[in-house]
Amino acid sequence: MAFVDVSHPMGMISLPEIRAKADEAFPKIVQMATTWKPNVTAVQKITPAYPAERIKFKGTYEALNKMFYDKGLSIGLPIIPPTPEKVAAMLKGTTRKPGEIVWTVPPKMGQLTVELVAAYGVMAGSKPEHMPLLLAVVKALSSTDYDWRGSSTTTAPTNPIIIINGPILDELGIGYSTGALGGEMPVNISVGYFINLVGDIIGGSVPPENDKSTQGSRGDLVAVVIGENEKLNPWKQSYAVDQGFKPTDSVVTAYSAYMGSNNVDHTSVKGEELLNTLAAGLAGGASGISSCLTHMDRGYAVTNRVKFAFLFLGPEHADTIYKDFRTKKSVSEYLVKKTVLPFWMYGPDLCKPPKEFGPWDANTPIPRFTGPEQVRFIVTGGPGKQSQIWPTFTTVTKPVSVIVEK
Amino acid sequence: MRKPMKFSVLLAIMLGMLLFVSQLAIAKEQAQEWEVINPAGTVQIKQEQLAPRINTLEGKTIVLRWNGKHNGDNFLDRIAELLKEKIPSAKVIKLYEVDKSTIKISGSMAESTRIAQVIKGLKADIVIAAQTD
Repeated sequence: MAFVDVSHPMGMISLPEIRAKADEAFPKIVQMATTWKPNVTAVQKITPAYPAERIKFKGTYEALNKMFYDKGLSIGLPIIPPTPEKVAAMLKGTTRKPGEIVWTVPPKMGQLTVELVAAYGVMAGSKPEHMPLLLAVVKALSSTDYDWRGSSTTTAPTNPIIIINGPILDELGIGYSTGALGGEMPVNISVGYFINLVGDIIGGSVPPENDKSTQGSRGDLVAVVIGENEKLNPWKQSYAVDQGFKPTDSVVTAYSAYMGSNNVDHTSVKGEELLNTLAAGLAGGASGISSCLTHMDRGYAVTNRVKFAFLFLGPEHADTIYKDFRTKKSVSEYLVKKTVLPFWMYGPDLCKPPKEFGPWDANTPIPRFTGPEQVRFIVTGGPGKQSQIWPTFTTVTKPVSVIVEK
Repeated sequence: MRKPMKFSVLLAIMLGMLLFVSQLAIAKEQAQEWEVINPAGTVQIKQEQLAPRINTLEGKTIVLRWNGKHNGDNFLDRIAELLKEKIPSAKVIKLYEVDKSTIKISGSMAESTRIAQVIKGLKADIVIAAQTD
């Protein structure tokens, strides 16, 4: 494939400006179209994916870390050296064969074997008993519904989001209460670090070449990994159970999100009042790229962008809502109704109400969503009047939930 | 009264030396021989038959593909005008006008394959695509 570079920006400029860029690029396009030939090289000897080669190195721990970073084998935080002994110990945490390829990771299409899952687990600080969780995370991320390629190469600051439900929360000590997304949560942090080591090193999503994120995000260093606080969920039904899993199943749910925002409502007494302020946050999330009247069951289109979002409800907020909304569906339905923006606040071309919507003008409030399945939530965190709102990245088809198989 | 004081001073010096020596040990971390798993992984490379190259656009079928990004259609519209003006024998097809289902970021290998099949059906000699942002 031949490329002609046209300098940024191309989007968000006027018609005369973009036409001028086409005029300038045209001779180069014709030249490339008629003269470019790919470099044909002999097929190189194919290195088997398993076993991974070993590196011998003499130096201090600090020097070893520097060597890893210099060779593109780490992403800036220190790693625990993946010695053969430590990797072998990690592999004891699963019955899967070490040579099995569990994901061919875009954009570089590197082959991730079970052995390398163990190696990255060691590097990130995971323990052998975390292997089933790591493998479930990999399975979820590799789903085409997640769109890892788009998420990891976009100019947007995407965050891999992992929600964990079920007995595994307490079995492994996964954080789901006070400060669950902060420090002192070794399992959450190691899984989050593992995800981005895999994405950058095996997948090759490294800035500025393949990862084009304009500013990036901290979630692209340590991904967002959080457990649901099922004990303090007033609806007594977890997100995983909503999705058809049993309460005894340990489940990982993954999706790619734009940057989250926070709801800090200290004054709402009624459920409706709190949902109104949450709707304000939902309406403003991922501004500029969100479409109106989106549908969960329709694919990616300019007029169907950002078609779902998650709320991470603090338990106290959840209690306030539960007083007036006894079913989770009624919560989502209310939020769908209230999450509106006036037409003029949508990006140009992104909001095209159909005829059946009726008459509208620039000031007409138009909902972002059309169905309750587009506003999902978990209860998580500890005491306090805080909730978070995480809208999905635009090409994600749906959140992917998989069982953690022991 | 003097003896205990001497003992205390001696003890303080010894403790100080111990601390000093232990700090020296930290500062002079010894290099060691490491053996570690290389986590880089491998990429499977397949040999593919290359599509035939063209050395002129005269008489060729040129398909213009837009992925829905802002201004990509405007850029390609202008390219189409220039192609018609400079190379009138070429047949220019705006994919985004003949099949609107292709106006998208494919998002998956399956969808990329489907769009490629649509283009193949148009018997394109070459595709010019806009990847704008």
